[in-house]
Amino acid sequence: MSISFFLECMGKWWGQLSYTVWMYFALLLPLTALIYQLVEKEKRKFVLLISSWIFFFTLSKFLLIANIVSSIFVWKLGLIIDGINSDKSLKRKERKRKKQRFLILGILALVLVLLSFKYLDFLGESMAVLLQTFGIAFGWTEIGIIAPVGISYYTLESIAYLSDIYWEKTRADGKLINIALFMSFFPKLIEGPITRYDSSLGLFTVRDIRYENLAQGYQRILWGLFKKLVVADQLAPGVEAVYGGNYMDGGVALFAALIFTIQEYMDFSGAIDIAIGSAKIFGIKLLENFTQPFFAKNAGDFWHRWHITLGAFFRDYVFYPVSLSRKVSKISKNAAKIIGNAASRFVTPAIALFAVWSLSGLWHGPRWTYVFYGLYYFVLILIENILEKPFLTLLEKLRLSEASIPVRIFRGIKLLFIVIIGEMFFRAETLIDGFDMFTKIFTDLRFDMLFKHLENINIDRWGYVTIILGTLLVAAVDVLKEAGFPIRRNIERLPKPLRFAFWYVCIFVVIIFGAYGTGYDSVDLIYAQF
Amino acid sequence: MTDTGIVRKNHLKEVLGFFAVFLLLLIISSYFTNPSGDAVYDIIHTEMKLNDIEAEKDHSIDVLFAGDSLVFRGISPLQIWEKSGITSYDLSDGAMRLCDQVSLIKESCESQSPKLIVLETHVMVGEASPYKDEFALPTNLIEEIFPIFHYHSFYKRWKLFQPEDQMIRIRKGFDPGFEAEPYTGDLNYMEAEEEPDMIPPLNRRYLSEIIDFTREKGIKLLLLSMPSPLNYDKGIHDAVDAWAKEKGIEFVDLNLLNDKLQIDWTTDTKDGGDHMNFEGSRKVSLFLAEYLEDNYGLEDHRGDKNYANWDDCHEKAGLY
Repeated sequence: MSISFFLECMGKWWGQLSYTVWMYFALLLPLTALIYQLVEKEKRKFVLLISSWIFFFTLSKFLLIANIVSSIFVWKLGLIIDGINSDKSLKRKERKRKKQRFLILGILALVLVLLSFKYLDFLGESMAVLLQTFGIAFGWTEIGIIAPVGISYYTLESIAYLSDIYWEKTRADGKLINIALFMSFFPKLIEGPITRYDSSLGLFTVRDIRYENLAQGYQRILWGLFKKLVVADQLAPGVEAVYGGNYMDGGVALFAALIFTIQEYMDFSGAIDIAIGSAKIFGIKLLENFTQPFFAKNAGDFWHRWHITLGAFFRDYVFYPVSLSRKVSKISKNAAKIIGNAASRFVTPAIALFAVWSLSGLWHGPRWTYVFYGLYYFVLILIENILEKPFLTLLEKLRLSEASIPVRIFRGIKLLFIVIIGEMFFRAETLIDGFDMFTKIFTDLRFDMLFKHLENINIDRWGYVTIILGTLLVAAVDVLKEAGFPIRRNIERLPKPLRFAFWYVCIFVVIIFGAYGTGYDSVDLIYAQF
Repeated sequence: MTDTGIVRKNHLKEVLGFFAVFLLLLIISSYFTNPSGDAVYDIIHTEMKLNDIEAEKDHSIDVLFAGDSLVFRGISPLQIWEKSGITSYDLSDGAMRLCDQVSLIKESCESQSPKLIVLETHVMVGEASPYKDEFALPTNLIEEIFPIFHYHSFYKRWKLFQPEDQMIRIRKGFDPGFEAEPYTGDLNYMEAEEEPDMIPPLNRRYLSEIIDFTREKGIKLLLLSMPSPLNYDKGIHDAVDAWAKEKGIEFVDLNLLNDKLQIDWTTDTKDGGDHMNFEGSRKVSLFLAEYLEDNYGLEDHRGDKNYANWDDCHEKAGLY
């Protein structure tokens, strides 16, 4: 076998590596676990790091260097800031000023790298449009830079790490390997969950591969594969067809947004299940990213349950610092003089929320639809904050409790509508398309064409049955989890033959009903692009 | 042995036992899902096509057009019907391989008795294997060892309240594209001297199967190359021509007959010279209607009340 043939084969085999490809969960993962277990304890972290780099390399080739350089930079800067923290020869103010300089330098450098990889074309094009509206001739030719895998995620993780050292919440890690692993650990590399340094100490603790962890890890991976392959990927061609189709009335627009919402939830939470399950095999506990988001009582609560780690990052590193900043307090005080105390108490949260949601929208990528998506939630959550008190007063007058069924139904329907409309804009090709779809829901809502369309959107009858049953199953599991029913413990209590039979059925459901292989197009993880 | 040692040993036994039974289940499920007849590449679309052709009235189709997307984009059975009264069907789907064609032809001939099978030649030079391409070795190997991974959508062969009035069925397998993206390349693409392409050994094996089957059933076989500058050149033509002569099979290359077809490459292609669009398909279908009438003496069923359904479909198709 010639070297070039070997390389070509490797390229083909690994070229499409992702969490849902068997190469990942049936080869890379068990092989890593096996070697991890076999080598001496002090070498185990290197096994994880090498696997992570191999994984990175298969997806982004030599852009791996960008990740390694960032790791060295963050490691060194962390040590410098920590060094200033411990430098008692400096006065408090001096210390603060000095370490602030380094923190700002770090954040700027990391953000600049992120911007140049992901946002350069967007900024250039937007600048061109802006200047052209003012009559200034400025053109922008698309550069089309490919970003390293996971850059949006590990940039946030690095910012959080440096900020935590700055606030003296944590000490800098002297071991470069720890920081390199923290920024490239393969299970969380593509889509998170966004990990905090202090919550990922398990990553640096070496332990044996345990039977329980292995079993529970693979069970979680199987659940993730079910969500992704059986539901999300069966739906993907339908979503593609309705969004790209040349016919759109209100019914089709609503249907498109609904099926994309289901696809995104299954795709993203499925990938997170695989990430958490993979880490669990090594005894590492990653943060949960979804806790039954559709049971949230309002849009604010939804974001405490959906992409939790992103929300938590923006809460801790944007919302609180902005809310507590002197400038914002000053604005709030000035506002109180003009609009009165009652109204002014919303000024600080409004400014902080605006910062959070515009950054959160932009974080998803260089598109105006994402910016709008962020601001959409900014407005809704602000309105919710303002209306919360009057709403509770109204409930009191109506003698209804928050937990009563009519209130829960009302909140459930309201939330579903908010989420689906949000996803409609999020998935739309352009903002104009999004508004077009939104308007049609109110001006052209009919369903006759939708039923005609259902036959021609690349999902066959078996596909519909699979998607509906799969979605109902996930919904049922979410209901049980929300009710606190210990599903896993009950499965574990089953007699061994029954327990084994249960897992065999689950595995074969994924093998048989999964959308993979010939006749299906493989679907990239949605959140991998962000 | 320590307690931990015993626990570990038990766990190891449990893991090995679990995988042993899993392996057994894979073997058993592979045995049942592997098609009893011919191995196919794309089970989903092959089964869907079979369902479509089975929905046709038994023994009512005189010509089957087999091939990949060049066929269902470029040959309109209802246009042929309108012009000549010959009944035909597009037995093709996107990226189909020769192995799929063998299975489709054999199985559709259980409910139909075509007089002629027209095989579009693009499938002759492409990948023919039921498995993936040669580089995808591990996947290929696993699918060969455990065919359940290749045929996991076997259940799609069971009809599930399939609607009878799907447009693709009304149009007899024809799926036109209405957009026009001009072909801007060399118009003399069939003239450049090129080495004849090779028809791979596996493809020859499948082709021999098709020949044997058609001879056994007394069905005539015609090889046809659709007009497509992106898919054809002189090398491919020469290879197919040599093979057709060797086997004594008629071969018509529409790429060489543009003086008769009058394909305008600025308006008649859907995607820059790859597939025909509706306008291109009209020209090809009218030519084929005349060609089949002149050379195969196929019956004109127009006016026959047993074929009244064809007039209904012609109207419902909303194209002519």
